[in-house]
Amino acid sequence: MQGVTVDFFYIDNMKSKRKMTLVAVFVLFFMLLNTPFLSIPDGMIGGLPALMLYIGACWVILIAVMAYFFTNRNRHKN
Amino acid sequence: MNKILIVDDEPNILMSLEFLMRKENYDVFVARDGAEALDIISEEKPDVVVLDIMMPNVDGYEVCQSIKGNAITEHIKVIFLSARSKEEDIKKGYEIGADKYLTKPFSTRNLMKEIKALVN
Amino acid sequence: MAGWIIILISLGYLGLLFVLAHFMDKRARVGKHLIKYKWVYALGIPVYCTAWTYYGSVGNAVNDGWEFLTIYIGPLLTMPLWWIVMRKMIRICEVQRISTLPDLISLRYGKSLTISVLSSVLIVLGIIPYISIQLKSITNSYEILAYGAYQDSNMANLFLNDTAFYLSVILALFIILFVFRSIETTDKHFGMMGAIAIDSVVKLVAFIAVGVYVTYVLFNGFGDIFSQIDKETLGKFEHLPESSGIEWFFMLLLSMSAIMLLPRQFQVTVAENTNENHLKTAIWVFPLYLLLINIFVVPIAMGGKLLLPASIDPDSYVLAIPLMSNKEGLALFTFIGGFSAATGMIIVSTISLALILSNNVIVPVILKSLEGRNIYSSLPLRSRRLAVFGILILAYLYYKFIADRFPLASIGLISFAAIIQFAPAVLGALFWKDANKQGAMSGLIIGFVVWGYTLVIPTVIEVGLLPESLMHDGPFGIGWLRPESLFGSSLPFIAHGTLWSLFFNTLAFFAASIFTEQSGKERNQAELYVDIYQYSTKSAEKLVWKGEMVYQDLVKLAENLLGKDRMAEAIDNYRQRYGETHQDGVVDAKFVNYTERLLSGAVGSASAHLLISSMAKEDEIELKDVIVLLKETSETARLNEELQYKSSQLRRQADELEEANERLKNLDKEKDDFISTVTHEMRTPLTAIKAFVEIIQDNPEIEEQERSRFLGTINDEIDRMTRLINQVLDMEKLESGATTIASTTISPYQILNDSIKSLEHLILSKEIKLNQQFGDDVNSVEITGDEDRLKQVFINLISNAIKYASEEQPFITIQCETDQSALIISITDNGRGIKKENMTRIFEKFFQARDQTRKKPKGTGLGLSISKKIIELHKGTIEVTSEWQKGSTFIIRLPTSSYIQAIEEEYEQNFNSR
Repeated sequence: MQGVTVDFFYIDNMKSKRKMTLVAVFVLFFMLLNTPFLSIPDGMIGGLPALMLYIGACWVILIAVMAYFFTNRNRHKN
Repeated sequence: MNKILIVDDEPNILMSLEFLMRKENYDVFVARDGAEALDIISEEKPDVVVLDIMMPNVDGYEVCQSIKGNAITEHIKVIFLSARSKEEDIKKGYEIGADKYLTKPFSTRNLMKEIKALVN
Repeated sequence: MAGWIIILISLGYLGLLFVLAHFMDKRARVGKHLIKYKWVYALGIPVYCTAWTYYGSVGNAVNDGWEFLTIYIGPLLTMPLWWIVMRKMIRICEVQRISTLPDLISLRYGKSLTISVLSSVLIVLGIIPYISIQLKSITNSYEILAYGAYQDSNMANLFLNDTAFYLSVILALFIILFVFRSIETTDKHFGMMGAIAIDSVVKLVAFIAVGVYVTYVLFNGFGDIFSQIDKETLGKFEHLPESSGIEWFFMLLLSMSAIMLLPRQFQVTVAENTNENHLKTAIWVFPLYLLLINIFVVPIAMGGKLLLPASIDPDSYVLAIPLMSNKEGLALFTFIGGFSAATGMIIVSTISLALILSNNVIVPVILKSLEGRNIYSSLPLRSRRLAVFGILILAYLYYKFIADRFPLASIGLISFAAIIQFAPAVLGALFWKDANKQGAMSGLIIGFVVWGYTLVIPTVIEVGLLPESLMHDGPFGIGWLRPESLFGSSLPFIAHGTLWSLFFNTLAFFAASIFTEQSGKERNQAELYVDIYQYSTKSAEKLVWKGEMVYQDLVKLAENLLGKDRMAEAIDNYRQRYGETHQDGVVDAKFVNYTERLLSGAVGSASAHLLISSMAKEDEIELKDVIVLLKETSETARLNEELQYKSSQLRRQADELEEANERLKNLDKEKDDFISTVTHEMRTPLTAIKAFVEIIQDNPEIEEQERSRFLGTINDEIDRMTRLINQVLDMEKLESGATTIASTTISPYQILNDSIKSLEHLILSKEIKLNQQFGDDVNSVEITGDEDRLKQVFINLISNAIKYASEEQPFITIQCETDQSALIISITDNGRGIKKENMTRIFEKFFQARDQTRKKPKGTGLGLSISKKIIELHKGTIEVTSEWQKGSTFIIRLPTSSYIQAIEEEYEQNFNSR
């Protein structure tokens, strides 16, 4: 019987550093959009729920990060 | 009167040689390039041709070859006057039938002596 | 609104959609996509947003605050992982010609038919209710629009008088006509993708239209709505209590797995992908789409609560608000939006389920019973079409008899919880080589059993089909087995079911994988899946296959299913790529695998494997065979790579050496040539000088006038020599870089003018006609450079033009103009011109000295070389155009300082950003 190795970070033609960055972004936003982080915003800011602004901001930032990661940087890296 | 043809594309050299030959009472013809020279040779049958090598259109080697390769003109004496001073250039000149090969710059006195020797 | 108008418009929309889809499909098949396919692909993925989203989100928001967002935040969160997980799935499916999720799983776990059928049935069971709620939502929205409220579902309406039934039939016909038209070896459906991309746009625009109407027409923006809403409702949106964190977490988990594994998502994202790089677009377009479609959910929810009577179902707010304010056009548009959301979902889900049923259940089961005899090529197509009708009728019946008793949202979530049961098996397939068939099977079975027990049975009890005592007391009175609180746990309903089913599923998957052995055949596939990027280019070569099969048998089998022409084409392809096919004898493993993959495209991988193994005497592959092969290949690959690197390094060094040698040799030869040409060029004036000096010496009697003419000639020749010497030295300095040109800001136009002036007398004396054409703005053009040097160039070129201009009617044109980047000066003469073959050599040193075709001009033969060098030092170019016997033009381009600066900055930026 061979040992159990979960080969999550296999090396392929993509740089593993880049892959680690993607996983890190995932972990970061998974935490940011779960409790207890999600329970921090409270009340209203400028007539709008703080929670709405918080989720909206996370959402927009993640889209921006993905767009930056997959449209801009490739031109130099690939 | 011996006929002499001078062939060179440098007007100043032509001028100086023409002056010298006339002084020695030769019948002097001048040509500025090889083609012109061949015309004069077939018409005038000069005794001596003083020939530069690097000339437009037909060069000196070709003129010499044409003189020496033709029974009617093969008696004509050929003196090369050339800036080409390399061993192989001189050798080539004699091989195709030149009677004398002088490298530029040459002594006019020497040239006149050679011509005199050839026409006699 | 009259019912027939709504139906007519809906049918019109469907018709338009079908026509557009058909058109896009036709274009795409010849490779001419109407829109770049990456956008179609990115807009196909929002098929995720169904009618449940469209109507249900608002209802969900009214009841539970932000919770509805979890369905979208989950997919949003997975985006960074798509490049890792989805790309790998796409690659595997491409290489192995997989088009369904059960294929992906069963092929990895020992090509097991049991797993294939099991997972197919589970998926279909999980998804049919989900399709039925789309039918329900269309009918509901139709009724609201037509009658202002739901009608009690009337059994008398069954089939012939029921809109939902006709809708099902129309959609089934669409799928059969447009998608399952013929059997292809490709599994891309461009028409379907086009249709759902259009659906995506329509539903987004429609929903935003309602949102804008509510927020900015009925109210004065977001702030206005929030300021009017009652405290209790606002409280749901102000804060997320930590106690709801667990539910939130599990909902995210469910939607995360849904976006990757739902059959329709698998279909559009994986099976319909034509290029992995399209993911790069989808990765940001899809979350942006989700953001846009969710912006107005809360305003609509609050607006509905403020404006509509409490008796109205929040699920219908989206339609009820425009109806309330008598905006019938907007209401109709909203209805079409919801209609497109539902039909898009139904179409893709039905197609993917039909493929699953046909490829993984119907065809293999029939094949098994036929035992390889009498396979006919219409079987796969027929079974697909049959499956389409079967699925839609099941969905319709479910809708008619069961769905009405459950709320919309709970059915969707239970479907999601079914799909997440596949997550361990799929992730294991992608990333864990030791995962095995027993693990996958036990995980799936246990997972689904717990799912059914904790999520399905309570709903059945609620409807009254099972005794309620089961819920309160547990089966046989065992308390800790109560379906809604297993082991006494108290969690929200969905979270509870998800937690326990996933927990037992994963536990069983790992335990069975670790404690049972993997077969060699399975190991083969495991290597291929996990290390797909290494094998993907030549997977056919990397597999172990032991068995015996006759070429003719195999080809005949494939011809039966694919048709003779297609098989012939495929064999041609194979020969081009891999070589021989062993036509007369026994085929090798490569060819067997190749054919198996071809068949997979037509009948799915499970059937393909069945077909192949029914024909061959296949020996059991032992684990050690695979390991030996893999060891060999990976070791050779590594050695090869190392060798290749070393030899390429050596070759590069040798090349460099040879190049340097060649350069030196050339340099040497050039130097020799240069010296001999220079000395040759010097002998000519020397000869003339010597001759005249001797004449004067030997002839004291010559006349004074003649003597001074001779002396003048001597002087001219000395000047000529001096010029030559100076230019040789100049050239040498420029070439060696010993002189650098000055770099001051200068105006080339000014310098050109000065140069022309200084040559004016020469031009006049030769009666040359000079034509000057200067552009308006040339005066302001500045460059960095050396005034004297440029003047040298201009004078040289103009003098040449003067020298060579035609003798009868000399004519020179000097032009000067500018584009944004450079000043362009051209100097034209009407002289003899330059022969074509000399055009490129004219700038060589002493070229004219070597040119035997023309009379020697009084030049040194270095002027043009020096000019070229100087222009190059100004970062400019000089070139010549010429027509023999008509004249020549020299053209100089001098880049402006601002242009050079801009270029350098750009370069620097590029350099720095590396």
